[in-house]
Amino acid sequence: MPSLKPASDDQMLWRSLDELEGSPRVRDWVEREFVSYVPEEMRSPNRRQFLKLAGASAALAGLTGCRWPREEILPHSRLPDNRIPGEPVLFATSMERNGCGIGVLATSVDGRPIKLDGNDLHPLSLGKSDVFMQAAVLDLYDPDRSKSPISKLARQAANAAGGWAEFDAYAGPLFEKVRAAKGAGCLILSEVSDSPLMADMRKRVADALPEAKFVEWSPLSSVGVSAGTASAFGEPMRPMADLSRADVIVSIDRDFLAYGPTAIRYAADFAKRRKPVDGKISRLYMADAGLSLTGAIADLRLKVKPSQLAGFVCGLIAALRDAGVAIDAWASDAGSALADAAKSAPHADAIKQIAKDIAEHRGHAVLMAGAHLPAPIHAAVAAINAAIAGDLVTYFADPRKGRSIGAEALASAAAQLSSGSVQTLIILGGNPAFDAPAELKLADAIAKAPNSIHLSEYDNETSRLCTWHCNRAHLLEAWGATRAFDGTVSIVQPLIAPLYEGRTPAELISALLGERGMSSYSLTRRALGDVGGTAVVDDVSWNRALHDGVFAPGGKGEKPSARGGSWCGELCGLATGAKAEGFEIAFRPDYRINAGEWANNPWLQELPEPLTKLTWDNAALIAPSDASRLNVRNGAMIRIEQGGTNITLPIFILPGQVAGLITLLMGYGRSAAGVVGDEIGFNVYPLRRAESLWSATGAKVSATGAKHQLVTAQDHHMMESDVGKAQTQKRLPELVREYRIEEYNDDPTGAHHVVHLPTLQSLWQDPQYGPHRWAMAIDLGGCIGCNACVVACQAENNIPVVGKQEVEMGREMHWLRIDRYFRGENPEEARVAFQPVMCQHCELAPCESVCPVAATVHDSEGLNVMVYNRCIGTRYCSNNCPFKVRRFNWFFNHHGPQHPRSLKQGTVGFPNWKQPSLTPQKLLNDIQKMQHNPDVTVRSRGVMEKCTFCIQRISKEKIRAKNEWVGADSATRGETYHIADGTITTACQDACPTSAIHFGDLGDPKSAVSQLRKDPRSYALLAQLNVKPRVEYLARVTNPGPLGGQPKLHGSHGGHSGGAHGEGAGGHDSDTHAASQPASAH
Amino acid sequence: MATIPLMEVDNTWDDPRKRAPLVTGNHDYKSVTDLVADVAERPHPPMAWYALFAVSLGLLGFLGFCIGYLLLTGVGVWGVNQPVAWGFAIINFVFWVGIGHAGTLISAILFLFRQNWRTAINRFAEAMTIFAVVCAGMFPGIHIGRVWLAYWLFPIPNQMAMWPQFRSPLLWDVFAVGTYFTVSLLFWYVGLIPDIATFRDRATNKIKQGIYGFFALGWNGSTRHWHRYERAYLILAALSTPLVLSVHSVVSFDFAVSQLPGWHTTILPPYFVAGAIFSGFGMVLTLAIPARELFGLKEIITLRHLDNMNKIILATGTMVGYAYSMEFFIAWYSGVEVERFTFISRAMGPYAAAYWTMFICNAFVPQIFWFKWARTNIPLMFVVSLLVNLGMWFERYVIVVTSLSSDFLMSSWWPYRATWVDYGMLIGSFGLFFTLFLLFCRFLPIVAIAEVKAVMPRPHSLGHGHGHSHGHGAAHRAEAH
Repeated sequence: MPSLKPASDDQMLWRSLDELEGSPRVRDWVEREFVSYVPEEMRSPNRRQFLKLAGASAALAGLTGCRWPREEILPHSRLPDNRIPGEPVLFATSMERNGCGIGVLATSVDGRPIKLDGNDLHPLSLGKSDVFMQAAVLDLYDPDRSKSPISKLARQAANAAGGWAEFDAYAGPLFEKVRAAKGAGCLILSEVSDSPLMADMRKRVADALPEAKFVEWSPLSSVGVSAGTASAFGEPMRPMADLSRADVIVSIDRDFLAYGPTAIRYAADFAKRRKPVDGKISRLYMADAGLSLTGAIADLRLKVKPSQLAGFVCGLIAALRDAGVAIDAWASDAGSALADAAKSAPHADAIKQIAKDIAEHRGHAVLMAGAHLPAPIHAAVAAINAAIAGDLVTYFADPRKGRSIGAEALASAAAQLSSGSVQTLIILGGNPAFDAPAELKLADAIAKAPNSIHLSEYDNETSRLCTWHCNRAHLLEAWGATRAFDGTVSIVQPLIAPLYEGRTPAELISALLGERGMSSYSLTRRALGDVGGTAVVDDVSWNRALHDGVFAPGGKGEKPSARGGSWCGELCGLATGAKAEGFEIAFRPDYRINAGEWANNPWLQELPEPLTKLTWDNAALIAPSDASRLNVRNGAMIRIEQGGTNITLPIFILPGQVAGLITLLMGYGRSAAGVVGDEIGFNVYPLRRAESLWSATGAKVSATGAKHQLVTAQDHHMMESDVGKAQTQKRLPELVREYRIEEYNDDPTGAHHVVHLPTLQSLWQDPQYGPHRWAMAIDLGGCIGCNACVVACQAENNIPVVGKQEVEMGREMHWLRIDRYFRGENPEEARVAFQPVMCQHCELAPCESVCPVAATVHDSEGLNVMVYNRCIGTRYCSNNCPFKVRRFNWFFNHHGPQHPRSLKQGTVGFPNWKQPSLTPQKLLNDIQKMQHNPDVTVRSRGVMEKCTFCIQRISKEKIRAKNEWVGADSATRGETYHIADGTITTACQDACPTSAIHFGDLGDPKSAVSQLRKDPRSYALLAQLNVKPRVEYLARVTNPGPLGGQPKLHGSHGGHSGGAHGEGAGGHDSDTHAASQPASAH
Repeated sequence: MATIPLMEVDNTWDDPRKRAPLVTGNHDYKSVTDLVADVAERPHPPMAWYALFAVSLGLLGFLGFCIGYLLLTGVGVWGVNQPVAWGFAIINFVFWVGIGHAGTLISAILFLFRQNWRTAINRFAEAMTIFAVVCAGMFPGIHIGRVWLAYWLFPIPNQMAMWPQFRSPLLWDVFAVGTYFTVSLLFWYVGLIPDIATFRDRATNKIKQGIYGFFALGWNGSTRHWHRYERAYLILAALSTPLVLSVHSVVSFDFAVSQLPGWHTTILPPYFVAGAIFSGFGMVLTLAIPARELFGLKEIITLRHLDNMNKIILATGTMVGYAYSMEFFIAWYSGVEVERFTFISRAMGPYAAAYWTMFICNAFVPQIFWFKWARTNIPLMFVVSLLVNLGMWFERYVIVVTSLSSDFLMSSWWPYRATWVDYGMLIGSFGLFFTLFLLFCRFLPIVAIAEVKAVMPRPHSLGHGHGHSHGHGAAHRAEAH
């Protein structure tokens, strides 16, 4: 991050530039320089235009870097201070997701933002990120982004071009009329946003256009928490738990590690308690309706249907009362109803144990409920937490109080539209025509409005219904502000000039209000002036806020006192009223494209779904028992009928799925997402209804007999065959090691006894490395399988996307993959094991000895490096790699022949001697290339590639450290340069929300990685091959408690049928097992 | 010529009191020369030759098309993928190298062991070797990702000051196959010189005379020439002999030196050599049976020759079968789980069909040659020879694909499915092979005339005491002229 200190220098520089600008000669020159600037050029720039563009964007980023909010594009007549060409600069900004903000640190190289990471000063990111934050930068350069406003008429005429000038000419008089009518007949349908900027705009709309209606909708917004807390406390509140201090966590279908605005923070806090400290770790119970990532790593996962969740909570309340936990707010008159409701609770024994556990850990136990659950459950959870959570749960004011949000509000808006009383419809972002509940028939309703305007980054399904579509600025292109879940306010600052002159929602509203000349900057500044009561934000604090990425902290939260309410009866009603007929359906946002808004992002489309490993598709997830009952296999098409509508989509048999439940992944089946996202997967929204957004009962399922090709990045039938399955279960304990906390306490080195290694000796003197020996330690206890590392690696290392058919061929390019295995012989009760695998940088690397041209070699620091220029592509290295982490460029892979862009948009093709290809292939355009990390080679066809441990980051830091050392005082600088532990981080490490990945120098005995390798949990994958990997894994420790059965101390050896191991607890020294076989079977 | 019906002469008896003749029919030195030279000298080869040549040339053209497509597009046109980074290209390479073993074995080892029956078949077995190695050599060249840099595999001094990496078995391959090809070619050529001189002397036009004359190196049949020729031939035979064993051993190192389960086994070198000889003889039979029919060479390539070759097929096939079984035993005996799984999955997994094709064709089918009636039944042995070729191709398929597709980490297991380009290049390589072979049949002596004469009875005994042959009423070649 650029330092704040040289601010005075900046001012000097810009003062002088100001003076320059003041002179008419310079002004004239500046104007002439850009007189020919047309955004048209940026759609398909040639080299010259590209350079102009790059220069211009560099200049603008320079301006923001200097905190200079001017929006003219100026070339560097003199290079600003503190700017070195090619040197990345970090800027703090923030992004909004489903209305809540999260802090972002954007890396910009010469004015091109190339990577987004979490902002460590932001309380909800803590410097960590998730897949969406990592992938967002690709959208900026997406060629499918909408590039100019376009009207319906122009669309029909096909040749008529739209543009902002035309739009303004249309909108000016229209907005004039709206203002004259005080907003009557005007409906603003916005995506949900807690941003203070939008709050300000909403207030202004309410003041100036009192008759206008402002409705917010997002397919994932839910009013359950607000209503539930309002029922429990009298005020809608936002609960936030401190998981870093929780001993017992009970999650009622809350996928808190992977989903929701607090996921990154929760994951980070949760992981802190998963490393044994004083022989203890936290315990996570999960009542899982479906199989979620949180459920996948829970210590004890209870399979519950959505309709049983209320009963589960009732049962828990009853059990807690029996266990002596008094829940103050519980109305005594609900006693008998509760007893009845509790009877319907599934997993009665487990609930008793959970209640006992909670009672024992009172003050350190937390209950959480999924945001999608109905209000009474949230009220109950609030009441229970008041009794059990001590000060772990704090509450923040709910900024959504009093706003029209959610399905009900949307339904009334739809009714208004249908009645024809809306003259002017303004849709800000989102895609309601696609993702609104089907029975509202919103698409038809929108078409009824005589004037409709949709502001969106993409010309999507909704845009096509509107009179005008306007292109929206990307979050890296314009100013704005966000409010995080805990109230933290951050500024969104642009890093690049809008590539296509996009505007922000605030700007559009400003135009509606008739404000003149308000840019996103001035609007943001104006809105933030009101935050925290200070009327004006002075430049110093503004600059500090920009630098830190936090404008106003969210405060500590409060602990309101619960009061009794009507929720108890409602909860019992929910529990007893649940109908159990037919299949139940649960709707789940997709872990890759969320509700569909990321559908055109190829990184996310090719990302294997963490649990199914599906790529480029969605499916209905059903339990193995249901599949065999329906007599269907993976990929079979089924028809789901519910509430009079039906959809047809393929099934995926997911081990561990709740029987009788079908989980539908939302967001797929887009028809106007863009070239990448169109016609991929199946739209499940038609089954979604306003009154039950998240689950439904009574669905009828029938197989259609048709098949669909589902492509997974793992799990081929070899793994699925009987031989393969048995083998998988045999090897799994050895590969992904885990043991229970009791076993750990009994013998921390237990993870080593899974496999008994012979004495591993080399036939020769092993090479010595120094002074650095880079290495990695990965804590499997921390890995939640969220994929953030995978996308981070892709963004950092210019890793191409290959397309569905190529994934089907087994040719995905990810350098880092997350292996997902199902543990257990019974697929119904399968547990999930995650293991991130990248190049292990073996010291005795088997890839190196077989390369005939020495293209993969060891460097002096023990890194296994790949020399792309030397590689001729024999692929022998890949064959000999036991971890299969090498990736080969079968084609020119940046838009290779199976990339959707190549498939749908034609070809460069033959003859093209520069990149000859007989298969259709579209090349990256210059704007797409701007995303590439300039420090990493873009690999050509025919070469092997693999994880480098982010060698570019290592080199950069070494160069910096050496330069510093050379420049330092020779008397005090020490014998050699020094790189502090933690200065070099890999991209995956940066992204990992749970800090499961550690990178560092084994040459430094104090480094975290050196320490972790001494941890008794640390083991090397396939150590019996004696390849001496530089990556080691820390075995996962679980804590299922008494419900997990008896811990079988030392009984987890691969291939054991139990009890056959005749060795005692102590004295397990690998050398003593020299006589044993090298693999696990003995 | 070929229209004259010839009755098959049974010279396969095992009576030690009577040496079986290696040339049947009432041949003298001249008639042998006439018989062999006629193949090349007759104005038109048989129609079958044209038909075969047209097919072969078509396939060769298709191969060229596939290679062009491959080079312009990338190796992604094949079915190779992440765990299975080697596919048909390497399978075909090993297959063709294996075929290339019989020729040199017959020429060199049998020569050193004074197995006179080799003379009838050594020439075209050697030619087959050369052409097979040409086919084999093509594949590693084009299978790499950046073909235009294939020369980096050779130790050529260069501005990068880089040598190849001498620890890599692929480099050993380059040396082993390169040496083998060079020595085989030399050996073949040296053996050809006296016969080319014969062709030169019989040439009916200037062009033929000039070309044959150029390659005959001025051979005039003087004793001095013969003396040096014999010496050179002996030396080359001695040089070739270890190569027969080394080439396929080195090729097997591609697999054995790696650490992949199913590849990393010490049995591979002998197993590969036995397999190579097995497949080589299979191919010699496949070629010899139609060739002797087509060109009327039944009296030179006699039933006894075929019988002998069948015996070798039986022996090597049994060795191969032993190796297959031993692999299983060792995998079990090692106690290494991944190793065990590899073999169990070979036999019972998704590639079981390929595995059992291999096992049945290679280990079981040749067992029929324990019976003499089978060894002397020409249609039967032709079928067996085809099955041997098929089985040996599948052996390489099984080795390459099954091991790669499921190794240490289950997450990486992935199947291999060949594409049309894979199949096209496999079939196309046969086009290349047969085109070369048919051209050889047409223009060069397909039997070593000079050597065959050496195993014939001496001239003074011509016409006397050979009642045995006469008794079978073989046609007189002289009359046929």
